[in-house]
Amino acid sequence: MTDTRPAADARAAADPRPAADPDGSFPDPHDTIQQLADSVLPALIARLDASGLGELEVRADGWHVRLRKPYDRRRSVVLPEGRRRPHEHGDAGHARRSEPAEARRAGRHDGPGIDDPRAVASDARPEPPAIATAPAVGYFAPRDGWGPGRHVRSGDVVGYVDCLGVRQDVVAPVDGFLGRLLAQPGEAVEYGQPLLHVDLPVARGSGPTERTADGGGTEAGTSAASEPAGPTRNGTEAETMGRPDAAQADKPGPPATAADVPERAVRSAPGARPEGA
Amino acid sequence: MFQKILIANRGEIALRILRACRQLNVPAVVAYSEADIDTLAVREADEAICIGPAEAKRSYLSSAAVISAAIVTGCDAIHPGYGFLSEDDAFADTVRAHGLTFIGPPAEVLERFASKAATRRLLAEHGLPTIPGSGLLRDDAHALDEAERIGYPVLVKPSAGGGGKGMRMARSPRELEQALPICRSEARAAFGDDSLYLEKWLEENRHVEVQVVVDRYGNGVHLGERDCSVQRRHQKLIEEAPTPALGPDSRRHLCEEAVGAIVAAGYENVGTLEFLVDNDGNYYFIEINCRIQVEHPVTEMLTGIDMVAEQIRIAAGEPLGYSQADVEPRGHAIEFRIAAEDVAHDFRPEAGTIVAYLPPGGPGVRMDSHLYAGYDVPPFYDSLLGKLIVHGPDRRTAIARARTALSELQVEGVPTTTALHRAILSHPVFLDGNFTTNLLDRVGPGAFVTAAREQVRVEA
Repeated sequence: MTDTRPAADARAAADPRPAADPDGSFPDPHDTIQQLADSVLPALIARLDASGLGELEVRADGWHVRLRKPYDRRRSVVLPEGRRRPHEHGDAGHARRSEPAEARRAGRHDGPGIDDPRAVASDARPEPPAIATAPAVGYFAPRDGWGPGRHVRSGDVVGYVDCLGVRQDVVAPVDGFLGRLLAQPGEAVEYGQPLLHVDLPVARGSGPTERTADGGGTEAGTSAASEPAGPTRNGTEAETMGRPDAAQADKPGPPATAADVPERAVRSAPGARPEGA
Repeated sequence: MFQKILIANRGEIALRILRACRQLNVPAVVAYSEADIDTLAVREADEAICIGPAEAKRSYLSSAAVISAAIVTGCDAIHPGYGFLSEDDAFADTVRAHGLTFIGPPAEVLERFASKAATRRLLAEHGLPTIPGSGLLRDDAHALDEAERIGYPVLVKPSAGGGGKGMRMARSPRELEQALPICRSEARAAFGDDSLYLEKWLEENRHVEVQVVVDRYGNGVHLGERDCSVQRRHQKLIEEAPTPALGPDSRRHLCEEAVGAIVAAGYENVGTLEFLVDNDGNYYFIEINCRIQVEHPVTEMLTGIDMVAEQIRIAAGEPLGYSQADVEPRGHAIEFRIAAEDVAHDFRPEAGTIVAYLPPGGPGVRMDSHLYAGYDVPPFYDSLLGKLIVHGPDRRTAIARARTALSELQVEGVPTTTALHRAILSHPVFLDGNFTTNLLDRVGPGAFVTAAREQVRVEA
């Protein structure tokens, strides 16, 4: 690999020229590419993401691939006492958590496991909330009247950052429910700073489901699941992620106060994610 | 003095400004883009604030983001460094409108010198010889008429900005017609302004610039000149002072004329007047840079004056406090720009992780760089990795120190221009000081590139 120029984002470059197998035959490049795209790359990306490393290079028969994570915010600076922390929203939610990608990730079982500290190796794995971040440097204001527990759709304006008198929208990165405020109203925020949680709707699979349907018992920060009331659906996770049941918002059950909103939702379908498996 | 300064730049100059702030005992906040969180200035700063994504337009070039960052962090002044917003009079004006101070010339001074054509007219009125040139070009026909009047070859130059972008030389009407649309689009892309003008092209010339410092009260001194003739396609590679092109009397005359004209024209803060010097020692004013320059350390080494601190002091309204007689340049200094560029591939800018970094040392050696081992050089910005500056009692000693320092300097992980500098340092034309801006083109960058390659091979 002679190319030393990184791209602006994590990228993968597969050498298109297959190497000869020991017996002199070449692997079918289509198979190789298929395999790379379907299983190897997603697994490697997840592994790189969880490792804290900046670069990963893997060689195998007929291909080699290098992944590079150029400017990961999680490799954060060691900060002196009293210094403002740069944001650290590199992994949780953020706009990069696109729904189709998330659904694909969730539906795949064939990759190797990763050492994702977020992933709990049990049937009940907490799904970290997505995070809406500051679109500019300025003063933060949450959206009037939009309290925790409110159902939001990806792209909804959930707050503002006043940048020199110009109001810039803070948008929900995913469909879900407004969670905890991570910055105080009126606080000075930097670009990309996490401002509020958007808790993900809970997916249901075939496994047992913990729920707090009464809407009053769950403390924020516990790992108990909270599923807004509604009929239990056996829809796939992809469906749940991509199209939360619109009816949910109209049911009487959804939590309405901060205390009612779980810090983390529990994914109850065993084996729904490859990580930690 | 200011309460707190926002540093709205990146790379080595952000670090340089941070150091000046510390020495002045003024707290500083480093404003950075997402791509620069790991840069040394951000690491070193007591306070840093992310102002936008990697894209400069939305971070370092965003006037709103920079000013908002200054306000929310409680700064009362903004240092723009070089490039980006450093010579933007509208930005300086907005900064002032928000009750903050722009560290540099005041907005109206920037505005007065914003147009190169107008600046040349103004300084000609104050007695500076200027190179024959045109006013702003209205269209191609106007350009052809003007070129005919000035005489070919001519240089097409964008009125906004600098740094060699959008410049083309034309030897004939045909070449001029080809150059105009290219320059226009380059200028538009680089500066958002596609107005062009023409300048007489001196086949053989040297690029000599005069450093001036002027306070708010009209006290001004020059800090000598710098010779920036070692260039490649109008990009400076090596700067030195004093210029080997002029004798002591001519140098003094040039510098005194420059500072006299610029003080009379109402300049304020640090600035640089650029001149072309022909083979007969005639000099012509070409343009002014209303900011700190990349090569300012050359002058600092000679005069012992901290020019970034001077910028800050003057912007805070302090008087200069010394006169021309107090400025005593000593010895000879040379600066080498170390850039992440692949010399063998047409100086292609490179990005990547710095695997090893070892700066040189010893007497008269200074390295201004934001590098450290493990640093990721992002692909979004200028390729400058740092500057090696050497100083000695005379040019010979400076060159000897430069040789040692360049061989000590170790930057691994990205290709750099270090080997090219070594090759230039061993070229007789450079050694005898009798070179022009054509040095690389005439001797052929190919020759240096080959020499640089040889060196790389030997080292490997």
